[in-house]
Amino acid sequence: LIWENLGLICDAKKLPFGQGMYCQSPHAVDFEEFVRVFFTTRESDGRNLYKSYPTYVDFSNDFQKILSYGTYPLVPLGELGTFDEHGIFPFQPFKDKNGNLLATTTGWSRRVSTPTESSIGIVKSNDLGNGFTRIGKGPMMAPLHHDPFLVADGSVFYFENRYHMFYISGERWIDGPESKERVYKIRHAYSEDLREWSRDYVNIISDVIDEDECQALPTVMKTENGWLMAFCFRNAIGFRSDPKKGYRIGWAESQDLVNWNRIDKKHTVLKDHSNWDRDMQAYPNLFKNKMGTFLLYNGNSFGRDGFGLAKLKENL
Amino acid sequence: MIRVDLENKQIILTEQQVSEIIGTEMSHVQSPAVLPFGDLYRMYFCSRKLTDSSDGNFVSRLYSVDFEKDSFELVKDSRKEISSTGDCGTFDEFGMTPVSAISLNNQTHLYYAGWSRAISVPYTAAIGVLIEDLQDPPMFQRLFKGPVISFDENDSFLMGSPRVKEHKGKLFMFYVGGTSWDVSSGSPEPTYKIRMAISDDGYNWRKIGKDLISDSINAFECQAAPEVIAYGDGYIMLYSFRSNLRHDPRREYQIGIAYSTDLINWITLPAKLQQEVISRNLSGTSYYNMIEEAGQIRVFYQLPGMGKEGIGTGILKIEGEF
Repeated sequence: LIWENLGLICDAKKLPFGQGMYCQSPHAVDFEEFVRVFFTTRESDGRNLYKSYPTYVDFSNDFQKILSYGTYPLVPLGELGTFDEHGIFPFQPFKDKNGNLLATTTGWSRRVSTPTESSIGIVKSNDLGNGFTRIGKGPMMAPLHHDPFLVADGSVFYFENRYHMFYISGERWIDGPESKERVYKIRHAYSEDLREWSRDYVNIISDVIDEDECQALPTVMKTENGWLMAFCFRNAIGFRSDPKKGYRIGWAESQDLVNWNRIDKKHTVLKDHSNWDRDMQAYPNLFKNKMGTFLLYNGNSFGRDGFGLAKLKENL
Repeated sequence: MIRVDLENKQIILTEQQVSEIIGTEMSHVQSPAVLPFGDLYRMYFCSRKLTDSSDGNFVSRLYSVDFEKDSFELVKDSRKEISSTGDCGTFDEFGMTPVSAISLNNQTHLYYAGWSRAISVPYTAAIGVLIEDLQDPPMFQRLFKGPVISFDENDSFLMGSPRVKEHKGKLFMFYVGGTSWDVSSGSPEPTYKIRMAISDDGYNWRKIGKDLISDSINAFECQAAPEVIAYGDGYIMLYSFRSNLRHDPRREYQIGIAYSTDLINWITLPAKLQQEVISRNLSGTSYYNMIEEAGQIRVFYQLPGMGKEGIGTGILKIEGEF
């Protein structure tokens, strides 16, 4: 299946707020009259460290035109000593069973022996997505039992009487040439109430690189004959500078949301001639509206320049 | 009025003894957790190797020793470090303390606070479990690399002081959870309160989501080491509490008492009354572990300086009505 490249649709340098650095992990929500794309942008703290903040941008339904930019930051970072005090990335909207708009947040905090730790938080909108408030100071899903650290990227949807979450979980830290590097895999959990989550503690996507393969940002869509997942994956070491080791898009399909077959070769996301995604394709988000089936994603340097779009040529 | 007194006090383990047992210089002897074991008491505790530090921060590790029940003589060759700390990046990488012990399905389980080091605040902690290696007691194994009680919307950081009680076929864990970091004295100081979770198996816990013990001092009161024992028609909890403020003389832990008939709803006393009902014989002691034996309550506790002076034991006398 071919995904045609429609280019960079949100340019970080043109943001009316922040520092013009990064528009990461786009997540589109169909508002019928328009498409709202939530993403995070970074600010430097002046010491070579960044903090990410969530915001959004509204597009026409065909993504050809930016209508307006949203509140910034959409959610303040957490209090001193809490899980999301040093950044929120990504910000992943979903609808609960009553149609209310919520989002998972991946909150980051800095550590001594490793650069960071993360957990998944939850925020709720009372005004149809213009603003969000957190439900509690702590996370909805944190390291527990066989998820020892780095719980992140919670992609949630409601299907057949339960909430499903695809997320990532840290497996181990390994020594890299400059710092500790993490290995993480995609997992699944489900919940009746968005508070208590039952986790399968199974890595559901097989590795194609090696056992240190890092998998991130699972996004799942219903198709005519099952489920399609897009995600991104990379080598554990060397991924920042070597395009061969950096993030690229991976694919998997499932009949039951539990067992997944990796089908990377079935999908091709064509690269754009302007090179914004020449070295990297990362943080995918599958989205469907009346104009078609889309893949929003980030390009080089984890979305430093902004995010772009691809459109599926035929139906799934 | 209820009265609590402590009799037959004796020191049973000092830093010097632990240094000799472990074979290197040790600091602090903390958090006694005792299970009777035939003619012996097996006591789990936490201590720190002076060589095991970076930036002035120490790593607490778990140890066990056996005592003769009658004489409190240390049994020779009874033992050493009983578990490693956690892997890089996991919740208990930088230490394990305090600890409590319970036998579940004939296997000793240790619940403990595991420590991580952070940047904006010095540390955080979550609660883990170890199970006894039945092939090689008193060594312990990890069932999980992650914690069994972790952060959620109400518990946003720093959980510790776990103690588990069996009651009517269920397991009740009393623990403490952080409520805020206070920076008014310069460096961040945490405030933490006693909370509870309930479980059927000891591994999957459901928090009840409230603070159990009202403050005796003020909202910045820190509460720790909730130790519960049946008393009359209900339960007595002895816990340790102090002010979190650096300039406050009440910064050293003192023993508090609370009463409940259902383990969930507790009544306690204002600080002044606490001092009246708790005998001066308990002064300077903290982190109680109580064992009922032959109609008596045998207690183990830390001595002043958070166990700098060692671990003691005595007979606890509780009289009167709450």
